[in-house]
Amino acid sequence: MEFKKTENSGVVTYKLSGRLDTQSAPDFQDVLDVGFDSGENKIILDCKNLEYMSSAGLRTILYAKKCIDDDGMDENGMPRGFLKLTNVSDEIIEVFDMTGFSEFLSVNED
Amino acid sequence: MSKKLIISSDVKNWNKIYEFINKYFTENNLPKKMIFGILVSSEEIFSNIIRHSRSKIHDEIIISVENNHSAKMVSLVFKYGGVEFNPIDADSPDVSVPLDKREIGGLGLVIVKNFIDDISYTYLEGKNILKISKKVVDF
Repeated sequence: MEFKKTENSGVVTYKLSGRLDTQSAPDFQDVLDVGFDSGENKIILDCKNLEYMSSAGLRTILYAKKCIDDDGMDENGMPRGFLKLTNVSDEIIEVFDMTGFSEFLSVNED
Repeated sequence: MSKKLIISSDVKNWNKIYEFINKYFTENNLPKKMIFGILVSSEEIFSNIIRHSRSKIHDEIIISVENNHSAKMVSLVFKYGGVEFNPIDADSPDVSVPLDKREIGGLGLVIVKNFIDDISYTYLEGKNILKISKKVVDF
């Protein structure tokens, strides 16, 4: 899997491409961790070019969700933190649905 | 028609398995969504075998794929050494629990049990044999 990271007004976007699987997920989790350690707390995962995600990818998303402090608002009245997934394919959404992730994640929302 | 891949018990081989399964079922005109489910299920089984069967890195895993038009089924068989270990024989997590209260793990089994229609497991002459099958309506 490959990714491109951009930052805009405190929101960090990772554009993912390829496969988030048992080989790539641990490396990507390390990348996310570096960001969390530096205070990144508003994350968008753009999955437009992500063709495949397995349970290893789900574990990385679950890990990210646990790391992000999304409780309450900041001083500007904005959410303190969030994890959003955009442009997620139907196949991956089906995996989110069957594992209950869809209910607790922001997926393909504006 | 069936095909077979013999590969060592190393997580780094997942890419080769992915390509093998994807190529076979794409050539057999399975819908993309179905191939996706088979791949995700296969990855879970493969990684569980490596983690729990205590097979060594040079031990072989034999993966056979086949389609059975008359039965309207496609199947994969995983044959591997190590201790007697059924990758499917574990408790699945409660998927209604909010993510921040979830344990990290067990999710793959939920996926396998949802995608796959039939699972059988035997331990014979020191080998684990796991077969997963998926019904194909459009055959």
